[in-house]
Amino acid sequence: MRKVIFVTILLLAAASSALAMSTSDCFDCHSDDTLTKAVRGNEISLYVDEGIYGQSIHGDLECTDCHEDLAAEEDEHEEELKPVQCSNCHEDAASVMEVAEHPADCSDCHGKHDILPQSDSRSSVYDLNVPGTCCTCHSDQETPDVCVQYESGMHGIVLIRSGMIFSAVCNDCHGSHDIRGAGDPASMVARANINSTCAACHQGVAEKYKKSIHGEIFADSPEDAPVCTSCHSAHDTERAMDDTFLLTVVKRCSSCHEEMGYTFSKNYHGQVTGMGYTRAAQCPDCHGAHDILSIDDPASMAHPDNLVATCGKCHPGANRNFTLYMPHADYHDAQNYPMLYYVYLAMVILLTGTFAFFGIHTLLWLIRASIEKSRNRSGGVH
Amino acid sequence: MTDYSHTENIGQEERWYLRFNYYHRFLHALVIISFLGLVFTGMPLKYSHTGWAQTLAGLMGGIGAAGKIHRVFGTITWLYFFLHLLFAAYYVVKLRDEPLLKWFLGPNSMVPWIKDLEDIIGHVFWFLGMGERPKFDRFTYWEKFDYLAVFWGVGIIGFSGLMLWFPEFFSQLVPGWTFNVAIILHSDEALLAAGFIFTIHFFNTHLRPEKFPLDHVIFTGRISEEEFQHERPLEYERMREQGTLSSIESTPPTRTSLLWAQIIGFIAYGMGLIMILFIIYSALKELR
Repeated sequence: MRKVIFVTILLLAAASSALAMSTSDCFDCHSDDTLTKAVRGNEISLYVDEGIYGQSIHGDLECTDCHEDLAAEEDEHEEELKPVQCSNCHEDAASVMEVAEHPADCSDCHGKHDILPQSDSRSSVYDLNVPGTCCTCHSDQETPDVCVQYESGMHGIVLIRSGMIFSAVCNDCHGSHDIRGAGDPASMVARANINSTCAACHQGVAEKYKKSIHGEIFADSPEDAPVCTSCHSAHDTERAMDDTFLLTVVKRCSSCHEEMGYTFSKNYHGQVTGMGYTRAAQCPDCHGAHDILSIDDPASMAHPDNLVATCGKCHPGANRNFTLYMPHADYHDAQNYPMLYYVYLAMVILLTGTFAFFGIHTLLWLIRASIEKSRNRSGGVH
Repeated sequence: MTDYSHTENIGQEERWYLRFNYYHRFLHALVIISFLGLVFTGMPLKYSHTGWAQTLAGLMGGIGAAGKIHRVFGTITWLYFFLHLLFAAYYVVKLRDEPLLKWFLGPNSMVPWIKDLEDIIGHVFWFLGMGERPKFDRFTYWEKFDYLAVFWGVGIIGFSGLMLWFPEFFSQLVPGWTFNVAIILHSDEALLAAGFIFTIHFFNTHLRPEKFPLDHVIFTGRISEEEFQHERPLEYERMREQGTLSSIESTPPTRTSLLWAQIIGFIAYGMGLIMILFIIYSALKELR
């Protein structure tokens, strides 16, 4: 009897070791690249490249470490496996993902059996590869296409064309696991947070901005101040010295300073800027950009005391007299520019008078001369 | 009206007189060239918000290039202005053959006087079928107006243009807000000039039925006896009585010079018409 018990234990032990599936057991089947199954009519490959898996960061783990529901299975297993729970090990990332609203699985960004460390240039989340990874979903998702915009923007050009790894990629601004919509106040790209998000790289600009009138307003009520993205596009970010930026900067400033934008466009600088001439002054040339101050502030570039220097940037030799030019004058505005208004009015009267007199004169002449001509002609017949 | 279709024997039977010398014609050519150049390079800025202005500026290499070309034609304008002043001074000092005051108020000067006022009234009465056509002299009232309008125009537009070209220099003399005034004057005076030349001047001088399609006298310098008698009877009679007619008798215009007159004239008409349409289109658009 004892013998029987002993053999039974032996057999059970042997059986149990056969029951617990080993990684090599899995590859008995899954190294066959023709192995497929049908999911809702689609053929899905069940092939796992043993070499790639072996080199992956999880290469030392057993299949069943992740596919836990197989740990108790024998050779054959259920076709439907339970989802892999990355959170078993990656608790921090998983808990962040849970509160954020990014509707993606870990594998959507990181891959499955081929996961590599983030620092590996082949990793799908390696900085150079991040835009491509995000764009597998986000291309064509929005209008305009953020992926196309990013590629043509400065960050994209620096990353993709110049190959500079320090350029901003998606997760630098949107977060890695803590990805939230811009409307979510906790989002890195929410209005109140975007400045500090950009400041992670553009620290010098952030310092200037803080001291500007925009920065001052932002400190009190972020909703009322322009933030980085109010003037700079989010995805197709231009270089501020490029024509595309200089020719649209007026429009950007005008989205708040509507009146100033209008009067600018009615004057020389604005007219030629409107026609694509970037050498003329645009808003920041006279008012400053990140360090912009109220013109009442004695430190402002556009404060009367500083105008000689400010105008002098483009007009060498500009003097105090020169700065009395009014770049935002509106000659239709009799209240603020009576002098210009009356000069304009006088011109209107001169033009109207001249054209009215000679218009009538011409018309009457035409009629009379035509009559005379036809009379002479018929006279000639007689 | 001169009929150019049978130019084989043009004016063979007729006498011809010289109305404009080479200098007059050369200066008027400078006026035509510079004026068209200024209008086409300047109006795009005035109407910078319209599509045609942007296309036109684009054809010239952008508004920056248009501005540079504009300054070249502006220089030509100042050039003919001074050349004319030189000629006027030479005329007054050397060529004038009558006492200064008599010349100044007489038919050989461009100064409007009582006769011109009478002619305006008489002309309008004639338009209305209430009287004879006034007898005109060497310069009619509308020709004097054209001439003085250019004088006034070059003065106002030319001077404000110089101010805007060299603001750093002029700000040593005048406060900066005068540039704001200069822009209004320059721009609206230019609109007046272009509008006037391309409609009123073209009609009065060339397009009215008696002259249609073109009065070549400013190009060939020559006027036929018949036209001279009809258009400027007082001048003709006076010179006949004084016996000076023969001093201005000339050869008939050549076929080549008539052809050139038409080529230049029709190009100018075309450009003027295009610009007038642009301006009217922009004005209507602004009203809406």
